[in-house]
Amino acid sequence: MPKQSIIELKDVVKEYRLGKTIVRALRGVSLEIKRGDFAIVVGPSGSGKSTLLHMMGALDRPTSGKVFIAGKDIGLLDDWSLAMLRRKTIGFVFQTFNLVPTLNTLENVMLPLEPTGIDEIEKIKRAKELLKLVGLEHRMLHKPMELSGGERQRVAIARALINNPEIVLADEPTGNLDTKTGLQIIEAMRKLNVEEKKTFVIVTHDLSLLKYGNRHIYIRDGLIEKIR
Amino acid sequence: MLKLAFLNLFRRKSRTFLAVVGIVIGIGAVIALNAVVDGIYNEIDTIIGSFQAIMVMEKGSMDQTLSKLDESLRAKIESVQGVRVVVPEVWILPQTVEGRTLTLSQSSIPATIYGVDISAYRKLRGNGWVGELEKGEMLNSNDKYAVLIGKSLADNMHKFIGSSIKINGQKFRVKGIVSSESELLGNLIIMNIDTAREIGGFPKDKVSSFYVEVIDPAEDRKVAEKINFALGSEVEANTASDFSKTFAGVIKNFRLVALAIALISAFVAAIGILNTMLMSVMERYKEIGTLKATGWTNANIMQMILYESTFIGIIGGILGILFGTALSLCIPAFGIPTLIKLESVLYAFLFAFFVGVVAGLYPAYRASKLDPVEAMRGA
Ligand SMILES: Nc1ncnc2c1ncn2[C@@H]1O[C@H](COP(=O)(O)OP(=O)(O)O)[C@@H](O)[C@H]1O
Ligand SMILES: [Mg+2]
Repeated sequence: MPKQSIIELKDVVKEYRLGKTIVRALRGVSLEIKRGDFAIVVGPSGSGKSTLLHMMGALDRPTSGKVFIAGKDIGLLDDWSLAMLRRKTIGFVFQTFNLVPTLNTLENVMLPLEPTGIDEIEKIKRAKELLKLVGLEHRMLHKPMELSGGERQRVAIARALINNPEIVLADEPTGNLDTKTGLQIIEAMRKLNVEEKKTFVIVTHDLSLLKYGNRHIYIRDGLIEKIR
Repeated sequence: MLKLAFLNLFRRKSRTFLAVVGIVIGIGAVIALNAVVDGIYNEIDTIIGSFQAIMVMEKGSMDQTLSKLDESLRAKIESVQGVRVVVPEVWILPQTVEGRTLTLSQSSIPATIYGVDISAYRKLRGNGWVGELEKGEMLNSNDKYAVLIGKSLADNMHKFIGSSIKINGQKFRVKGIVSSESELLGNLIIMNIDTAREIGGFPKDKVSSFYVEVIDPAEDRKVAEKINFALGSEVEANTASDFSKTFAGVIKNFRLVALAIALISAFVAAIGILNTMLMSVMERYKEIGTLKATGWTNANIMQMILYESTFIGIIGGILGILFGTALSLCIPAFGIPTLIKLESVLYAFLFAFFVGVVAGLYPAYRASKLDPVEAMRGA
């Protein structure tokens, strides 16, 4: 049985207006991400990788073309529905971790649940489980400042998983880490992909990460170069 | 969310502090001003409430010391139905007491000479303006150079029963000390009406006013109207409730001034909060973008920012109430009465809360409308 696609882009164009000039970040991209994929998107800086990831994560709507996430056409959704889609289906991991400096590890992980009605005990239980999964159960009450880069990125991964999303999107997750720590992070994600059956899309300009992915998407100047 | 918003306030302590100070000063000033207005109102209301009678004065005179009537009117008033006793009285501000000129600035409540027809006064059921005799004896009609003095005056000038006191150069013996519910009557110098006329240079056949006791206090308004009707246009008979009304009208203006100051300070405080919150939102672009990426809705973001600004309002409100209360407790040391009413405190609190909410609206709106992609690129 062929794997179902969970993200689908059709002729996606994304333009940004910078004063009078128009920047075409994506110039007609079509691709499919299937359930359970561990997809790596590579391309040089400025090639449109982040823009592509934002499309796949329902953070933005395309200028033209269609983006389907879990069967939903995001061009037809209002802001609230996009937020709900992100809450239920997508987890984001960023290059700069984006943790809240005043909150401890546990609180940072629980942050996406803050506006939901889930009760505190359940939130803490889930967050603790995830911190165990990423190997940070001994760092729960530390503030981000007290953690290493690799630890911070693990906190961010746990945060991305707190809503139990089907898809995890990572934008240069190893970009601010040394090679060894970077590999540990990718391996941690790979483990979640296998054990928790999460779909991963990882954006990077580091070609050495390609070997971890089952699908390789090459992007250049806003166009797909090749997909393997 | 509440806890998160609360913690966010402590990320830039000095800036939050400044916004809070704005509210504290505003609310403090409002509480203190209201306490002064309420204090003065209460003080004067007590005096008005302590006389259950009708005051007959010259029409249009601001108070008794500026009023002058013919004593011959007494018979006319006595013949009005429902009138029990008519007491002729003279109110004079003394030129000197113990050789010193008493001006308004020396004491917030000036000493006042109250010359009263003693034989008429003694027929009253109540104490009239004189108050309760605390020590010594009541005056007799033949006590020419004897006085009763108010308790505050006695305390301030260290006078006892039998002491002598010089008023407008004339020596008097203190025969009694009287106390009254009101501070403002604590500086009365009570003497025979003829003596008062003599040392005050007041015409012999004139009085300042008449104090009229009615047979049935419930009928005071009716009797006052009858007196007005009987005596015609130069005279005005007022009951306690009439005075209350006039006075309430005057006090209303003070309240308006207090309100205006409240509004101005609210405006200033609101600008402070607005500025703090806008800066705070700008600093947290990336964080807000991240929250949106993790599924926070625009409304969630808006809620968080509004909670933060409302917290500033609430904290400022509580501290402002403490500050204002402390001020109100200090002000009486300068001779100005104050009264802190629970309702002013409640209103002040609601006001601070409201300012916090309103000042947060725009920053919250800005934050909620942030484009998450832009927000994260910017960092
Ligand atoms: N919000 C934006 N406003 C204007 N230009 C943008 C914006 N986002 C991306 N771009 C431009 O689009 C192109 C692709 O950007 P991006 O997707 O961030 O590339 P990458 O992540 O591969 O480095 C770049 O030229 C970038 O300057
Ligand atoms: Mg990028």
